[in-house]
Amino acid sequence: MENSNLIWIPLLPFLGFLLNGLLGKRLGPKFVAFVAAAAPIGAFLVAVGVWNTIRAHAGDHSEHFAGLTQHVFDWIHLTKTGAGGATETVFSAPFALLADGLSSVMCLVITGIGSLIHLYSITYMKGDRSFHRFFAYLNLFTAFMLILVLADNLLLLFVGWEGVGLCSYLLIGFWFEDAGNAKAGQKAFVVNRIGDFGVLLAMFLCHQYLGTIDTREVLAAISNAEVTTRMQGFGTDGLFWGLNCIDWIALLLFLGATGKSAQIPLYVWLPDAMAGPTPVSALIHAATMVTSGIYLCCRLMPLFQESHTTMAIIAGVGACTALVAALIAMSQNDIKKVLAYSTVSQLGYMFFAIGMGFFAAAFFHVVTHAFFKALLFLGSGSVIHAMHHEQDMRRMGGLRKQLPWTYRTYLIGTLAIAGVPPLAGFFSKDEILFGGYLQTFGSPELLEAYHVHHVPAAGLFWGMTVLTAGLTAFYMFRSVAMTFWGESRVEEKLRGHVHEPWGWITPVLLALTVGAALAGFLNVPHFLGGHSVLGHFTGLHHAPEVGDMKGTLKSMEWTSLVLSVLVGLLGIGSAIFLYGKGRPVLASLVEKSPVGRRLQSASSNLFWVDDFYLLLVGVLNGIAAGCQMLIEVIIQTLVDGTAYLTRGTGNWARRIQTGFIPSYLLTFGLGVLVLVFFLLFLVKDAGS
Amino acid sequence: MFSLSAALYLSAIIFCIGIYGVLARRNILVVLMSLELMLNAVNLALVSFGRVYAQAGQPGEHAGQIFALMVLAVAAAEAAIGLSLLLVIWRKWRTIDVRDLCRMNG
Repeated sequence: MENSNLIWIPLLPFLGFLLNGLLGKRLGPKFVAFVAAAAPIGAFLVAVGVWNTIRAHAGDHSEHFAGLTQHVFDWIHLTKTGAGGATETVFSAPFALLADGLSSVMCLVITGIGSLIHLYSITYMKGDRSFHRFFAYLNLFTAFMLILVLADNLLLLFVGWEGVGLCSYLLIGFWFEDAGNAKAGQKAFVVNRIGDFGVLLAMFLCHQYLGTIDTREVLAAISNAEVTTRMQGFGTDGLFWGLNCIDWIALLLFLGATGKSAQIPLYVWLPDAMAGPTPVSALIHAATMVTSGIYLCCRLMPLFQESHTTMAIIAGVGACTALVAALIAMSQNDIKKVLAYSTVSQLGYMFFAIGMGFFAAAFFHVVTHAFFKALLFLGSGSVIHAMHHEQDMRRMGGLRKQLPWTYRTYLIGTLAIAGVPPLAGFFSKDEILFGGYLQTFGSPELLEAYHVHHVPAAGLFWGMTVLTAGLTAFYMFRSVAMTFWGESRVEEKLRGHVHEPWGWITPVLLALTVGAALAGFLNVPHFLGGHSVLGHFTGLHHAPEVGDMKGTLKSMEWTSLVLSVLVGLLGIGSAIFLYGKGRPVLASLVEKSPVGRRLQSASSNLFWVDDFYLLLVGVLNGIAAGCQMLIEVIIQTLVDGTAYLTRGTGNWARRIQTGFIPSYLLTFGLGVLVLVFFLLFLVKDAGS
Repeated sequence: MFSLSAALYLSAIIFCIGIYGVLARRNILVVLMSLELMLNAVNLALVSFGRVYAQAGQPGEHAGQIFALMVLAVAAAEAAIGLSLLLVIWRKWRTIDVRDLCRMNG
């Protein structure tokens, strides 16, 4: 169904970008702030309208509703004229938008949380020299993110995909006067390029073997038996490790997702991305951009479901990332680094859910995570703002009294991420862990009822994520304890000046707290009396037809729930025991045992992954230097040699040109003599 | 008694003196004068040949003399241009020594 309002959702932030980017310096900070906040708020209002239309149509079951579309213009349209003059489309990528349940909810999250973060930034960035530049970038990011979400073909999606990467780069290096910040931006960009390469290849495969890059047509082609048979033959020659074409498309798309969504092996850029201003970390590196990998998987759900190999890989990568990032987060002392690794870990959770086949749970976690992680980042921003850009938690402590509202909101965010009922994180995390539990202990019939394929080693992955749930609660409460509890370790000269920032900062924190507390109720599962509203609305969840297995299922659901809550509480308890009331118990424990020391050093050195990558880059640099030397030798012998030869000849020959007139005359005279001699004695027949 | 060979020997000697002057003298004025010598040596050769080989009533009867007159005219033009160049060179560089006029040195 056509709907001409869709374009306004990305267009409004884009207009904000143009206005602020081109005229921002002249219009003054008040006007810039107004435009910057008004653009995403306007987009949010349009998105609410769109969502409402979809909701009305989705509720009405009499017609088949495939979402709202808008064909804005023909972007790329290649035709060829076949025999008989009939034109045939070879390749078509229109600038067309598609809003269905999934993308409309994503739009609401982006514009809703985005608006709040824009408002927050007005206070946070006050007085910055490049105030207008910051908001221009932020608006541009919002526009590209919305294009990514609303795109109805993969190429347009890729435009948004690259665009958000660009804005991420620009905003990480926003304070580029510090070389470290600029380097962090470059790292993010380069690492993301590796993933983007995967998306491009996947797109090529789609066009080559499915004949289309339109998302809905791709999904339709997969269920087309003829196409599927053709594609199964893709790998029969053994060139591609026995994987068929769909496996490869899914795997390459997942490679792109690991880049954008910071998964092993490409997660290393996200912690460094914390060099950007804190609102940027909240919007781009927690709530929206980094979830685009999960969004991509959800959008192409049937494609991924078709590829069991890829699903198993996704589950493994997700679980490993979740665990490793959580382990690293445990020893970080920078408040933003803890949150960055926590984000990597939570994204790992989402991919674990996707790998297990529970796309609705993954997307649900995207939504709840957007609320509580944005809240946590903005809370840490409030602390950093109050502490005059101090980020080291070892120089904080006891801030509870000076920042009472920040403390309360941060604590609620922490409880939400730790999975304490009934906050947002509890519902989504429980759903993910239940997915793993079902894969581990569920009978084949149950898996069949849930439309999921059994994943090998599911039990191992599930165990890792359960462990991660405990670690998450632990390191988050560690950060609360180090920042807000105990004795103040703030520097003397700062201590008196720390106070609640207010302005837009505290109200936004309060608004997000409401979201972090209540977002879980969007998708209350059936056994807790809900209807999985979000899952149904986004089309990712289909009620399982369990029949007589109802009893077994119910007991499994409750076991998983109790287990996840218990693990979370255990993590909270141990963090309070070890760090609460200023007892440095863990520190002394770690100091005493050699194993503990070794673990601590591994964790605080990020498991040497960055060093390993540096080594790889060093090897590549060495090869490049070798090639350069080789080329230079060739250039010197061939090109420079020719040049030397020419120059030498010239230097020698120019001595003929003395500029001394008599010598020219002498030469001339000798020439005449030679000519005469020639004519007289050698050309004897000249006269006759 | 007119001797062609004597005239030609004289002509050659004058020509060589001219060549020597052109090549060896430093003063441009003297070089130009030596050039005149070379031209006049050629004139002498021309009129000598004209006297010996010209036949009355035949075409080219006065060719030698006419050629000599022609060369005189050209020499006059050449001297005018050469001397005016000389003047300009003197005004510009205050020298008429050929050794100093080597701007074309590569």
